[in-house]
Amino acid sequence: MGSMRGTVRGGCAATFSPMARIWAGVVAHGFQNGRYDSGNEVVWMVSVKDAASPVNTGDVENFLRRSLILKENFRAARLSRWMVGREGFTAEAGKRADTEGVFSSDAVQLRIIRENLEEGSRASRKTPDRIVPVREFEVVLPSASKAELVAARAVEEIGTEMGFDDAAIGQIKAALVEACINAFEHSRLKTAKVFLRFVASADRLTIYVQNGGVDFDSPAEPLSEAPSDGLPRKRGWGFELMKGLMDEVRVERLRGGAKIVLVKYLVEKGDGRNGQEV
Amino acid sequence: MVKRYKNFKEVGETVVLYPDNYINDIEGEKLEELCTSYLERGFKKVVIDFSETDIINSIGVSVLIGMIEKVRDMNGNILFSGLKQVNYDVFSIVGLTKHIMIYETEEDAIGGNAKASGAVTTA
Repeated sequence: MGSMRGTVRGGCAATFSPMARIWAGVVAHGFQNGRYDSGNEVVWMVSVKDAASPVNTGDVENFLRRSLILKENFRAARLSRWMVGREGFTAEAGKRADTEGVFSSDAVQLRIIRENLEEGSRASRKTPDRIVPVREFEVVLPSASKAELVAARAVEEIGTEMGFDDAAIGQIKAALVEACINAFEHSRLKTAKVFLRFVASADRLTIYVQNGGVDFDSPAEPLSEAPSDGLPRKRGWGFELMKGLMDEVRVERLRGGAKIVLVKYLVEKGDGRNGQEV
Repeated sequence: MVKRYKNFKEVGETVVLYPDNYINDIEGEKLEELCTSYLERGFKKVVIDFSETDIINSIGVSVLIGMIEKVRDMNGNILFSGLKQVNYDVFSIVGLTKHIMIYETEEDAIGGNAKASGAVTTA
């Protein structure tokens, strides 16, 4: 092999001169913590000895020297070093590599790593068929006339996209309108906003309705008296409507406010159970 | 004789009221005022057709309960028609479906057909 050519993820390449004809090397960029910025960049320097003899201390020293030179080029990044020997390492070489914090692997270990990575890759390719990723949407409502209808419209779009049928969407909209009205009524300030978060997952839609007020109405509060002719009472239906229309309703007390959580489970379209208790 | 306006229709001694797509406190009060004015003019039968109504909130429900009470106090008759499924659910939760006749269409309500209470249009 005439030279060591860097194979790079992330669009940057590096080249360095050959250490030996039997050596191949790779420089790759990765990012940790799922963040693609320089603070999380990791540069992997890997060399592979593809020869009948094991890696010796001279090979390790050579690799360490070259890795120091390379490190100068990637000052901002964390450098991870890895040596692979087809026939393994001599005892001294393995100890030296270990002391310097260099990963060391033989051909068998490399094969196991590769198989594990390939298996993981196959599994991740299958994932979209099995798991629908969670999607989140946020809406902020100003204190304005009929602002709750904006929330209803938003949830109609989200619910339709998720596969809820029309009856279930109608129930979610009506329950959400109740939650928003309640949130506005109990906000400390007349101009307070109501914060909505919609979490769409594979089997349910969860809606968080949060205000900056003292509390929401709770079912334990005194209810208005029923009219004398047997008709239902006039006021205090908000929470009962939410509970009747959704699968789960709960109130979470927060510092400086409260949050109401509405949950509707998604069932297969056409089985007639959307909107009913599951 | 039938007189049709934007929000209501007069058919003999019956008036049909057509609320907006969203019944909240404001729309509910408008509906109540309209209903009261017809009762005071001698109309005995009030049909509220909810065909265009998508959402009735709890305050709207309160106003409707008050309207029912008022119509009965004045010896009138109030009927609902054209309810979408969710609005039927709302009335069912508060227990109104036990107290009022619900028809599938306004024609059924005006004609006083036998099929009522629970007959709903789908959303």
